[in-house]
Amino acid sequence: MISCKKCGCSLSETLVNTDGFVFCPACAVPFIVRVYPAASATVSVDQGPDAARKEEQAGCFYHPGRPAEVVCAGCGRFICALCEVDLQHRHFCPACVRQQMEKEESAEIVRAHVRFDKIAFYLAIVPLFVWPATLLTGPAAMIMGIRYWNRPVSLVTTGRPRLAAAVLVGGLQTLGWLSLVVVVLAGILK
Amino acid sequence: MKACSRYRFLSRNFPVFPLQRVSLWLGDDHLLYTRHGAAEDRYRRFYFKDLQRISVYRTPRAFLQTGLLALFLASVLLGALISGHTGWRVFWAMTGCLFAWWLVRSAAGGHSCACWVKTAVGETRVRAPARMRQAEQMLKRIQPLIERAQTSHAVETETGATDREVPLDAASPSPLDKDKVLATPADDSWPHRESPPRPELLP
Repeated sequence: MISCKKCGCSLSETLVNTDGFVFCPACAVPFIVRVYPAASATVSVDQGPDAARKEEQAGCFYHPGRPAEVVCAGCGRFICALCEVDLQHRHFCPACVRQQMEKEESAEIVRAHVRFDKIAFYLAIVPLFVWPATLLTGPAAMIMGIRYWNRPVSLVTTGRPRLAAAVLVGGLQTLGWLSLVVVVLAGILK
Repeated sequence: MKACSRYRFLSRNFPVFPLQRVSLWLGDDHLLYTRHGAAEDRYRRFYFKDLQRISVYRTPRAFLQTGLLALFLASVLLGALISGHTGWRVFWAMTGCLFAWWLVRSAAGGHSCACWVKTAVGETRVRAPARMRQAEQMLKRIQPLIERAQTSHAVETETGATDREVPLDAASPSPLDKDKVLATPADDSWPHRESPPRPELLP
């Protein structure tokens, strides 16, 4: 049963899958609701742990009581439907998925990216307002920009303008401080 | 890590709550909902074969926002009129231009909306299509992809027999499909072939 998000009244089937938006009969809020075939699919749970395990059928590596359904594309172990993880049309067991997550090998399972480009950029720009801090943050931004240049920035961002700016600005700040040190030392030595 | 440029942009938004830029991207077989934090991007994937429902409701937010901006603009223009100094007038005029640009942009965007995506796991509020027009365009764009993904999955479910072999690169059965069969791993591209240590038994 589909209900209106605003008033909670149930919506009839004529109000879903329309071309344009329609109005809720109770609260008159315009909406579009698209229902897809997956909504009517049901989960089959006929293969519980106590299901009769056929003699000729292999068991799951992790759940010996359950029949195997697919083979892990990573390690080749037989796994059941509970253990199977579907990634880019390939089936993996939890151990292989965990390995991929640790090594960030597959873009399909990356849940988050630390934005080193943003950190380096802020590290280079923000301390300009408190300029003595650039003695530390300038080199830090430059090193961070170089260190993480080859790492993927994000799943949806390909360019590295922030990293380039961080390296440039951090490098200039470092150069400035080095020049200052050289000038001061030269003055002292004279 | 695979190439990262395979996502196509769908929509973005910068909601006041949570104060975090969000965007929606179109992948090969899924939607990628991204929350851009100050130092971290967080992703959520909605696979086409798992999408059960997408609901888009019109909200009054854009109307309120436009009204508020018009009020600000009027205040700024009033400030420009009553200020005697030329410097202040220039300041108020520049501020007014900023608000005017924002107002036009807000008014031209059309009605705002709230979008929910439902899968078997649950229903999630997706904040990326902020306007009805964007949401309608997004729905038009992803509709054939979802239908194709779910139709091919349904056909596979109907024709699936327990004694046939399914190649690993074929369309994958969804978690709902229990007519899966044993398949032989034939892909040698996997970087580590040795068996990983056996983890703890799952409950």
